[in-house]
Amino acid sequence: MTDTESFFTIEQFATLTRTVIILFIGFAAARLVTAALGRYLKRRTSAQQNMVIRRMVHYSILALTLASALTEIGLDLSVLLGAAGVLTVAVGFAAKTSASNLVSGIFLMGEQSFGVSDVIGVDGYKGEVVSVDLLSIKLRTFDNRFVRVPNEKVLSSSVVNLTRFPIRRADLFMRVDYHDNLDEIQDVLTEIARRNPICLADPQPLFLVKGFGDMGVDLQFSVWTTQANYISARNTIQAEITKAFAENEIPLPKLHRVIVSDQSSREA
Amino acid sequence: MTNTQNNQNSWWGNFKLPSLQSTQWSIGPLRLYIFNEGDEWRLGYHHSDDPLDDEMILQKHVAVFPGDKVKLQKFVVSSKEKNFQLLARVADRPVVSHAESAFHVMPKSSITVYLSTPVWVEVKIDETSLTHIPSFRPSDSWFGPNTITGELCYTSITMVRYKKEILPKRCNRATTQLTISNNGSDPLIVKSLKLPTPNLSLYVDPENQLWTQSLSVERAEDGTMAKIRLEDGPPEEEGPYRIVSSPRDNISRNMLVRALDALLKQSQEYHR
Repeated sequence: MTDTESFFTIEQFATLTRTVIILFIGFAAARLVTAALGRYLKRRTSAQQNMVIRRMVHYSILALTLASALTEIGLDLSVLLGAAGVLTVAVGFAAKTSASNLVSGIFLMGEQSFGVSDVIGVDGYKGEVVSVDLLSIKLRTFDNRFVRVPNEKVLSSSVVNLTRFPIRRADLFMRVDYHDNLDEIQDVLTEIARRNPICLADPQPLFLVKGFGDMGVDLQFSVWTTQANYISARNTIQAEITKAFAENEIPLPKLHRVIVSDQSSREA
Repeated sequence: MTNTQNNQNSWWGNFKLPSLQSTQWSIGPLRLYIFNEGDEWRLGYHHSDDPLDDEMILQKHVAVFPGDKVKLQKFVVSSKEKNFQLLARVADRPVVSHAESAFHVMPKSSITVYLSTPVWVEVKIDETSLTHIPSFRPSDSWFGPNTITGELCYTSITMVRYKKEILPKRCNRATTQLTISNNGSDPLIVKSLKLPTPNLSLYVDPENQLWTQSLSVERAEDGTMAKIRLEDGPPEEEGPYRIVSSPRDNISRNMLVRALDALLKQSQEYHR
């Protein structure tokens, strides 16, 4: 027997070859299956769900491939599983937060409370969702800041999705003098909304007397508009209200203070 | 500038505009300005304050293009021809018309109403569509059972009419005849009607008034289903008609809808 043969038998070489083939087939299968799965799911799921499902399938196939390869070279998997069990406990304590974020991400994905391009408010931040990832979501605030919010925090707090529904109500608050005619004010406001084409005729605008404040009567005037026109509607309506109030001589109450001077205090 | 359309009294058709010349059109409330700069065409438009304006002025020469007073659009068209077309089109969204007060269609009865909707003006250069401009910009509106589910529509400024004689005839509005039949056992209360305008064709009658094909809707005996049918054309007694433009969205003539609310709104209560 030669030195090479004593070091490396034909049977060992065959085993090694089979192991390499298994690994090669496994890696190739993982890529092909995930690519096909991605194309199949493209129109049936959101981009985030697609990404998570593809990654889970990819790593599952790789894990099976690795297990097959290890079995082929004669390694006892039960020993490995035993060590993995101990390792899992250690990793679990060390990566508790990451694991929690991962699980929260899966729940968020299932709930579908929001998606990419939605504008949401969470954890004191408001912005457009740039991505929904396994551990966190990423927001772009309106002043162009990048915010990373862990999934655990998103799941455990209230999330406001500002763009979920096609229409939205713009609430405008104002205060008018106690001497003003509220019926006339309501007519003026209703006419402003009627003439503005981006204010929805239905649902009808809302006029509410909120209460009686120190300086005047508190009013709420709400108009409905599409999501796309929300900012424009708020701006144009308020500008038109200012103009219409001036044209109709409806004054807005000005802050004033009355100072009472007592004769006795003056002499002192 | 010449009009090559047969009917000289209609604002739509094929027209010529030599280079470096401007022209103005008044189509109801719409004031449309077109300027041919050779390879570039400029369109400007604005609307008069009166939504019921019925002015119609064709091809009025304009010495100076009012660039700063109008909404301006520019198009680069590599064409040696000087032809442009104006085409009347239906609205690009459904239009909701309201009844002055809710009316009751009693069991085994039917009613015919007339709805008026504004038309859009499509501008084309040698069969290339440049833009669609509303002859009047109606207000946006929402039609649905709640603020979550529904459809974005326009709202009509004119009410539902019960006699076509009293429906004002305007050059920028199309009339639709709608027949509502109640085969149910209880009265059908109708407050507003949503016309599937993008699915309708435009026709013109001998008096140069625009019509769409007629619609009929039947409430089934169980009161839960409604069948909407598009007729072949406008009411026969107003004919003969010529077709002006095809629908924006083609659908089958017989269509079943799952809910009566698709066309009729009987009552509506939105949560505050």
